[in-house]
Parts: sequence; structure tokens; C-alpha cells
Amino acid sequence: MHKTSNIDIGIDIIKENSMIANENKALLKKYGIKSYNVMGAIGSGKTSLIEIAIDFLVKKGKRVGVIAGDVVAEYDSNRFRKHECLVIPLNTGKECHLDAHLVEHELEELEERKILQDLDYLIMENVGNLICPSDFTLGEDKRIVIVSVSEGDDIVLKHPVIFRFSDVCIINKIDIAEAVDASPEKMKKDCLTLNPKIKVINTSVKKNIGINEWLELFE
Amino acid sequence: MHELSLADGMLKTILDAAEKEKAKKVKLIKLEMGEILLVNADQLTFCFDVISKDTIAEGAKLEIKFLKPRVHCNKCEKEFTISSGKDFPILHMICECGSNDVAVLSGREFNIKSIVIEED
Repeated sequence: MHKTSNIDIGIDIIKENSMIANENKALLKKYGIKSYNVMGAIGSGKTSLIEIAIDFLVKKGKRVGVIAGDVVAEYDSNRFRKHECLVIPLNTGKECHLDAHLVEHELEELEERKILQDLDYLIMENVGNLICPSDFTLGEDKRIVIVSVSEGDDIVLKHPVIFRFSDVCIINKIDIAEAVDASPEKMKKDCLTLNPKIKVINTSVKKNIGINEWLELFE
Repeated sequence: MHELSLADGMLKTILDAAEKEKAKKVKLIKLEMGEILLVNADQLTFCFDVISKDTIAEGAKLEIKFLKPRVHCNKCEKEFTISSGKDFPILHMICECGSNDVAVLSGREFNIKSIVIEED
């Protein structure tokens, strides 16, 4: 007979992620960098809205870094490179979300190269997904979830966690709500039922609706 | 969808601990998982079974204890546990006083509590 024994471990992987996220947050705070974790489904308009925010901040003389998190990051990175910002492509490979550890690596490298110190803003575009990013904080000041009306007006209740744990919800492509038979009012109500503290903003990039309110988040 | 990365993190943690104890085999893994976490237990078990092949944790049994979320009502200051049965707890975060302004205190754990190992 082999001897068996019980070994206590007590390691919480989600808590470990949060601990690294807190270190990221402290590092960003040290250099006075405001940080945003932008989440949302594929095609909800994350990249387009971030591009607008970059131009707005650059015009105000701010220096912006953007982490483009994707399974293959080069496509969004190329879009961001057309703007005056520091682009940090982050290939997540098989992962369906950014986690604090991946971000930590990038921040450490930027600090070593004396680039991080110069930034005023860091915008992290998460992988297009309403599920996995909800379980992982990155060290951000603000968690923003972007949805579009074309995802259906039941999208909020179908993915309650990400809305429950976000500070802001952007309901994008508001101009086509009628055409896709979606009620932005219902979407907003669902957000507030799940999370009474969430700020909800309706936007349309194409028709320039709600963009000022979107940009106020970066004041 | 992130079951594979969690299974991978779990395997590394377990193998580290087991090797320190000079274990020959890992027989059982006790895991505590918060009910708010978006992790499917069956998929997690499947992923773990696949990636633990040819390691000393191959064939280990995964015993998962689900933890109900604790919340604090910001209106009446009451602290309570969400028991939502088969329903997702996030949809039931309403206090007896009628307020949905509640702070989530726990329910997102992924705690590798302990393992049972076989020694020489």
C-alpha cells in the first residue's frame, strides 16, 4: 500500500490575477496614467470609439498608449497606428481575454524602455467577447463595456456578469436600432436593473451621436 | 471559454506543490469555485483531464465545491448570501428591502484548496 497524504495549497487563481492587477494599477498610478479596460463583443465598435478618443486626447496634447488585445492583434494595431499614439499589440493566442499577467509584461517592458513614464492615458482594448473578460481585472481605473443594438436588445440579460462589473456601458450603433428591431431603452433598463451604479451612454459613430458624452469619460 | 487557461494554471500549481512533497501521484484535487465565475465545471474537468496526461496528476479526481456569493446591501446595510438554485446568482442580487444596490463581497473564487497525493 502506498502512503497517501493531504497537502494544503490554498492558491486562488482569480485572486492571484487581482493581485497582479493591483500591482499594475499602482504602477500606472505612480506615473499618473489613467487607464481604461474596453470590453465588448466582436463588431460592437470598440476600435472605432477608441480611435475617436485617441484623436480627442492627442488634440489636447495628451500622450496615449493603446493595448490592442486580440487573438491576432495586427489588424486593430494597424488601425491605431494611423493615429498619434503608442500602439502595443498583444496577441493573446489561444486565450479569449486579456489578463493582468499579460498586461504586466507589457507595462514592465515599457517602463524599462522609459516609454511608460511619458504616457498620460492607457486604453486597453480587450478581446471581442462578453464572457471571459468579465472574470479578469487588469488594473484599470474604468471598466467599459460596449454593445451594439445589432447584437439584439436582450444582449444585456444574456451576459449579466460583464454589465454587473462594469462602470460604463456604451450602447453603440443607436442609429440603426429601429432597423434591427432593438429597443435601446430596454437595454439601458436591463443594465440599471443589474447594476444601478453603471453609467449608460447611447452612441453612433456613423451619425456622431453621444460622442461628446463618450469623450467626457476621458476628461 | 477560459476553462483551458484556468485548468493550465491549476495543473502548474498542483504539480509544483506535489513535486515539493515528492509525490508519486496526485489522487484528488479539492477546488472551491464561486458561483458568479463564468466557468463551466464539466468543461474545466475535461480540459484538466486532457492537459494532465503524462503527468503525475493524470487521472486525478476533481472535487469541486461551489461557493454561494455573499453581498452587502448599500441601502439597508444587510449582509446576505444569494441562493438562486439553478438560476444564475447575478440575476438575483436584490435585497429584501427591495434595493438592487448591493456590493458583491465574494463569489468569484477559484481556490485550489488542497490535494491528496500518493507517496512512495
